[in-house]
Amino acid sequence: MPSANANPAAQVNCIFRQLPDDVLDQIGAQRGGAYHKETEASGVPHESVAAAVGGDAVAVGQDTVTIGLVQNSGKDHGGYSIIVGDATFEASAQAPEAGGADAAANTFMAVSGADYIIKDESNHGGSGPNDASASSELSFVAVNINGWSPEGGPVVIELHQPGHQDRPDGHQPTDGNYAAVIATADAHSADSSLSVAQTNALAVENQFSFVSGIAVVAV
Amino acid sequence: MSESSNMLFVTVLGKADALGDLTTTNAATKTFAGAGIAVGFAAATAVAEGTTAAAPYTDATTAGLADGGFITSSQTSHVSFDFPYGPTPVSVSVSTTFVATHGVGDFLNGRFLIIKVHERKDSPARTMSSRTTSLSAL
Repeated sequence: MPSANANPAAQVNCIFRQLPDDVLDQIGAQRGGAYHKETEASGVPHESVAAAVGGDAVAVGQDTVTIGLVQNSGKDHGGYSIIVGDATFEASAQAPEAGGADAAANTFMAVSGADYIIKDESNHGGSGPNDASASSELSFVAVNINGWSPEGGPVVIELHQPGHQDRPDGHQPTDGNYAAVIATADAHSADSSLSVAQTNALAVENQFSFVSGIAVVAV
Repeated sequence: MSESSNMLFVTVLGKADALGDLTTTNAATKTFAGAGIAVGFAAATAVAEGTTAAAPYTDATTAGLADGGFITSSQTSHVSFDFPYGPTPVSVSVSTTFVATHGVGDFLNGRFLIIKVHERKDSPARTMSSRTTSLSAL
């Protein structure tokens, strides 16, 4: 079981440690170093895997900040494919009147065609009389082995971190209403590949700010 | 020290790259500034057709920035697709960016404008442009 703080490479290696030896031989991978090892065409038909990751954040108040970052990268290694993605959204708001500030953040993901999925999600939020803040973080690793599937279907490992009522280490709003979002989608494959990234940002002076973003990758 | 201004500002850019046996690229930007509103739009398209020996490559990027209005918004979209099958593999990338900022209010009333300028001094509404990138390596 990978830890919640493991990096994507460690999580992929954790997945490969669970694979039978004959499967590793077939796809040309090795335990412990599979994540960086390129394989030649194994003769196994290519299987497509797709993943979408995104989120949104909204802050209401006189001074607001919403920030979003979405990254999604997929690579076909020949015998197997790996998609690594994450989304981080934060919202903070302040208002001079009590109860005039509110903040919310949300992230989501969807994966199709993967044999193993490791998902790590955490949500934080807090509010006071004149301020509110929220953050949501999600990261995942999806691995598909061409021509092989785990017994019982895809394996999903969730490293859920329960939410806290603490103030996130986010951006405290300065004067004004600020919205910024970046989304990147990268696809690398010798077969057909698709990458889509979309963002929206809206700021209304003295009222609120909003961001959303989504990145989709298919290899 | 904050600066106060009643200027609306938008800027957009677009870039398209294509590499292959047969390629076409197009990048267009348009900005409009009227009474109380400024709008920018950028679109970039790249299409490349390669050969079995040389895979095609495309990249399209657009970005924008808007500032100065009470309501500021941006939308971006980027799609990239590679189809490497057959004698003529194809790569397509399309990117669009739309940014707008609205100086809402009675912009025909100069006194109101002056009031809003002072409000803006302490509370500028700003939307940073969004950026999307996509790479496909064969």
